[in-house]
Formats: sequence, C-alpha cells, structure tokens
Amino acid sequence: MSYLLLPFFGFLLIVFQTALSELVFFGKLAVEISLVAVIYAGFYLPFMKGAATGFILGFFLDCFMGAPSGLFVFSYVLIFLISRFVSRRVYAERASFIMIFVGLCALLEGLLVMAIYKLAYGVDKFHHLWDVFLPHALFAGLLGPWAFKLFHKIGVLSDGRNTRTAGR
Amino acid sequence: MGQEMLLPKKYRIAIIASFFIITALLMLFFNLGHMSEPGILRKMSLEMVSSLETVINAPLTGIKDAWKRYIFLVGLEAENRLLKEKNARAAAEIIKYREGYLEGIRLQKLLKLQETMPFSTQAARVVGRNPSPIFKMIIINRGEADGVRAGLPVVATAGVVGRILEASWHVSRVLLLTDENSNVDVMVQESRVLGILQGAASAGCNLKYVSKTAAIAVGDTVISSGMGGIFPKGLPLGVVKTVGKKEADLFQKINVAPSVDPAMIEEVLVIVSDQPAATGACLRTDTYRQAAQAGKGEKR
Repeated sequence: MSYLLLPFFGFLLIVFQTALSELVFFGKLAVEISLVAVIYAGFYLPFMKGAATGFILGFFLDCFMGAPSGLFVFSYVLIFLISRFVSRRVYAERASFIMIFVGLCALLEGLLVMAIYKLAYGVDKFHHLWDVFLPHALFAGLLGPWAFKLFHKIGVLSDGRNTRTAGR
Repeated sequence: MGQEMLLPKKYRIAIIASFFIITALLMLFFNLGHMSEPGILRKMSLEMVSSLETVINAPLTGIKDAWKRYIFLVGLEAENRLLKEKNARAAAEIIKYREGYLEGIRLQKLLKLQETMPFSTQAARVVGRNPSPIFKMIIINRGEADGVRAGLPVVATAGVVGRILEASWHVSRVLLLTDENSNVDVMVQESRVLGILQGAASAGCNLKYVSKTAAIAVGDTVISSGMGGIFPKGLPLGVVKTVGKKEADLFQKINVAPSVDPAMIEEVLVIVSDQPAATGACLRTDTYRQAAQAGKGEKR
C-alpha cells in the first residue's frame, strides 16, 4: 500500500518545494527538500522503499525542472546508496553531521549534473558552481536537520512505525 | 517475505541497487542521446507546471498589491486616505487601459509578422518561466492539440526566441537561444560568414567557429543560415556586441546580443509548417522590419 502512495506523496513534495522556491526565493534558489528526503530514506527506510523513493522523487524533479529524464533519477539513486552506505557506519543524530552530510550530497548532486552535461553535450556549466550550486548546497545543509526532524514527526515515509529503527 | 522468496537474501541489496542504477542510467542515456517523445507522466507533469505557475502568481500579485497599498496609505489622515484610494483606483484603471493598449500594439505587431511570414504559424502566450536558474526556458500555452511539437522554431516580432523542447497536449516548453544547450547554425548578414550561435546565459550568445580572417564588425546582424534543419533561412537572431581576436586562438571570440530579450517575451509565434507556404520561397528579412514598423511611433 505504501508503495502505491509513494508517487502521490513524491509528487506533492516536488510541487510544494517548487512553489516554495518560486514564492520565497523567486526561482533564484532551489529549495530541495526532496534531496533531504532521499538522504533521510538512505538512513532510516528499508532498502527497497528508500531506493523507490529516490527513483520517484528524481523522476518528478526531472519533469518539473525540464531536465532530461534520468538526470535527477540517477543522482538521487546514487545519493540514496551513498547515504545507505554511510548509515551503516555512522549514527546520524547530531545536527552538525546532518548539515555537513546534506551539504556535501547537494554539492555532489550539482557536480553530477554539471559532469553529465559536460559529457553528454559538451556544455560547460561549471561556472554555475559559485552562483547556483554552492548556495544551493549551503541552503540544503541548513535545511537538513530541520527536515530530518519533520520527517521523523510526520512519519510520511514510514508505515506508521518509528522510522529511526525501520531501516536497521 | 515475497522479496526474500524471489531474491536470495545474500545478494538482495546488491540486486535491488543494481536494478535502480541500471534503470536510471538507461533512462538517462536514452534521453540524452536524442530528442525523444515525452511520456504520459512527463506530459501530465508539464501540464501541472503551467497550472502551478498560474496558482503561484495569483497570491504573489495579491501580496505585492497589499504591500504597496500598506506603504502608500499608512499614517495618512482619513480624507487624504480617501483621496489616495480614489487616486490609486484611477491609477489602476489607467494602468489597466495602458496595459490593454500596449498589448494591442504588441498583438498588432505579431499579427503583422504572422501575415507577412511565408510559413504557417501558431500564436501563443507565455504562461510561465522555468523555475531553475540554470536552464533558460519558457512555457507557452500551445501544445500538440494546436499542432505544436518538439523541434519547431519559435519567433517573436524582434526575431528568434528559441525552439520547442517538449510539448504536452496544451502547453509546451521552449528552449531559449540564451540557454547553454542551444546551438543554431547562423550567418552574419553583412559578410555572409557562417558560424554556430551558442547560448551563454546572462552573457547573451557566443558566435563560434568564425575564422580570424573573417571580417566581422560590431553591430553586424546575425541571421539563421537555414542549414540546421530547424530554423528557416533569414530569421534575425541578434547583433554582434563584441569581437575579440587573440594570436593564440584559431577562431574569433564574438559575443552576440539576442534580438529578443528573454525577460520581456509575452507573446510568440510557433512556426508549425516544415515547408514554406506557396506565397514565398524563402523568408524575407524585411518581414521583421515591416512588423516592427506596425507600431512605429508608439512608446513601449
């Protein structure tokens, strides 16, 4: 049942973050709650459900951003796997750790997008590192601990269980 | 339980991870390689984006208006406030009429362009801008139901706007000339030199692969060469802004200011026919001059 609801909640999340980005930052800064959701899934959700979450959120983000299908799907699935790998070695409870990790993942996402564009089209988007991707990574890092707490509380991604133990 | 039965527990995570990564990579390679037809989910999302833009813009305008009213009226005497309200109402009316008047001029120019163009065209209104700061795109209110499809050229009264990137049933996304993924085969009108016009985001466009020996001057007009297979020959794209020649470089560094300011586009024409209409063999460049003169003497 929760797999059927995933696309619905994923779509709502992308709509919400797009609206927030346009209303608050007038489209100048991306508010990527979906990225934090994917990292959260890597830490606390069962493997299959977490991977599906990353895939679905990536797909909807591709649609909303106008990016080629698969660009954010690949980035999100990769970030989910990295988060999963890290979750086996680190207990992510401290806000400072979440901030740094989310910021690094956001930066990695930006670098992936730039690298794929460079490889596929020969288009150099690396000059956007300072004006787009770095502010985006900093903002995502600040958003991380707050979003983690929110996901814990609403338990949207879980089946009603405590998500902190669900994936372990 | 079901998963455990299907997949051996030892390899389950590796199999699931490989499945998702391979699927994502296949999607990516398939879509990067060529311009594919968007799927039904993607089309539905595109429709949603345009609806979302409308929903977002409505409260935003409301908030802006409320803030302006607050700033103007706070601390004033009752009579003064009444007078100001009256004045504001009158000003809003004037703005509304002026907006209608300006829209009329714009549409007149567009109609003139549509009439003089030897191609079948479809007029469209810009309903949204792309929410991403790295992709330069707009959304228009015409889709497959109106004959619009991916790859078609989009023009405005001043020149080329871009091309259709993807189309759903009633809306389409337009890749602007200034997007870094945009490449157009062009020709400098004065010297007939050929080159590729590539988008450069806020810097406008760059004219690439022009030999150092070619005579290019600031102010030269850049038009489509008709060789890319997308844009018909003779459509104006921009004006040469700067020209740079370095000893070590093979080619000149030419910056071009686009004819159309992407931030100011409100209405566009989509050239929907592949072949020129019977009335003319190829596009006359004075078509744009005629269209521009339709509203001559009127201030924007």
